Amino acid sequence: MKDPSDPVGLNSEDANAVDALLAGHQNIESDPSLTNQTPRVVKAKQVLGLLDAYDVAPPPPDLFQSTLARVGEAKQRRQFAQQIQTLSVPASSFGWREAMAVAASLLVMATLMIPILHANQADAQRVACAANLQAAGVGLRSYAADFGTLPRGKVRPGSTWYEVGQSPDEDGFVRSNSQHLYLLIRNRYLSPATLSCAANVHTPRHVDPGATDWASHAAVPFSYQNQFAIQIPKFGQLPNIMALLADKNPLFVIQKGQPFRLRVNIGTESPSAVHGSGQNILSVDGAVRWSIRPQTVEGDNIWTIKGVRIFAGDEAPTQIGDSHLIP
Amino acid sequence: MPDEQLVRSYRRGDQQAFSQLIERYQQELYRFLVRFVRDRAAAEDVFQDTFLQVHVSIDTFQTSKRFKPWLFTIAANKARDYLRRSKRRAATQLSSPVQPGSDEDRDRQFLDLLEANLPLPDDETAQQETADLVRAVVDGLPEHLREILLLAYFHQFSYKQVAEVLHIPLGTVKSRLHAAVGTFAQRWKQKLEQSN
Repeated sequence: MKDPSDPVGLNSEDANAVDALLAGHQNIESDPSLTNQTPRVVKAKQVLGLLDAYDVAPPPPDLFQSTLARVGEAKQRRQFAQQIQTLSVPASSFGWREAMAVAASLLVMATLMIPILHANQADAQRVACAANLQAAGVGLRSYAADFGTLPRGKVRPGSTWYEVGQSPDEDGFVRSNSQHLYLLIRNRYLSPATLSCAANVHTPRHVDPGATDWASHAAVPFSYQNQFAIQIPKFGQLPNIMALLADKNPLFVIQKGQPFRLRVNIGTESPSAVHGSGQNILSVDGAVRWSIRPQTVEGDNIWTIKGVRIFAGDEAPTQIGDSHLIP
Repeated sequence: MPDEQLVRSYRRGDQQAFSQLIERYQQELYRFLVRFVRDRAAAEDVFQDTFLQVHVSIDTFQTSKRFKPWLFTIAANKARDYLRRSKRRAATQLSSPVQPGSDEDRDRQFLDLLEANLPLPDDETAQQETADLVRAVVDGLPEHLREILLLAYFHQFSYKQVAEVLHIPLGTVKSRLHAAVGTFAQRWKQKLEQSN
């Protein structure tokens, strides 16, 4: 039953009149689409005219100055941070012979240290990615607290989910699974820098405020639970152990301008392009674990859908709790 | 000087160009934000946040596009952030959460403005009383309807520009705007009947 305060639309004649008025048509009375509708146009004009009564007092006189001051503070903080960084690098005050000697010893040390540093850096990036995934879990739960479900835009049944980097179609239907995940950035639940993995150099840390998706498949930081299912489960219905986000699904190869294709079966291993042998995986309960196997503890393969062996790019899980993390 | 030229100047280090942008938009943007967040102090904060974001993201702005829709996109996002935070603080629950991009009610009822017998303020109705009632009705509209009404009516954005600011298709702009006007008219009638 409709509540009297529920939103109501306009009938088509009123809608045409409103459109004409708001479009600023010069000769509304002679508009062919509105012939014989003069009383209706007058009424619509009266209704819209009511809005003019809603006036707002001018801004406070110090708004301009306080805004400039706030931006100035931000600039100063950034400059200060840059100065600290510069000052932390010791200045050199010795001649070229000493410099050559130091360089030679550094070269030897570097030769010895590079493998260790490389390993440490890879470990550090893996840990940093795991921390970002953990933060993404907080963002997903905040979103679910507000909307009841995981982030999900408008879905056209049966559409493909791999056209990354496109805007929603003319009816607002999304074209890629990453557009669902991108709602976390668009709705300010997470910053682009947080929803990224340090090891993925293609993911931008700053994005255009108007963007609706990452620019390319390579730029998408994580694989996200397939949101193209017809049934939309409530967040509370999802099993705790179910995987929601992970570094990247290794099964599918998707490049802009090229058709979707399925990589050869990788069996029981679960490598990632950014971390080598395994993946960081975020589950519903907010935990992040490192795994070199694609199975959760309940045996669900998080890269595939139960019962599907050949993928065309439009498949979606039919069972609640079936993880299918895709680009 | 066009806004986009000021953006280019600011990128080159001309601080004055940024001041000009703030000055140019402070009246219009502030009014938009007051009507959107319904609180003057909050509108000031969001206004500052908006220009801070403009400063931070200035390099991502494409100067081949118009600055004003970009500015209002940022402002609307910041305002929605504020409203979401304040809702959380108030611990209110949405009775029917609106999914982004899915606000078209298929079973929405339709209003006929001519047959609805909408009361209009007469000369005897105090101007202030009318203003208070209109404000109450607009402030009570759902966020997404209020937002589109502000952009299309008060700030005279074209439908195409509204689509650009809100990142929604043109068809959605129309249906959402019609819903905003219809709901405003319906609630105006209810409000006036209650007050008499």
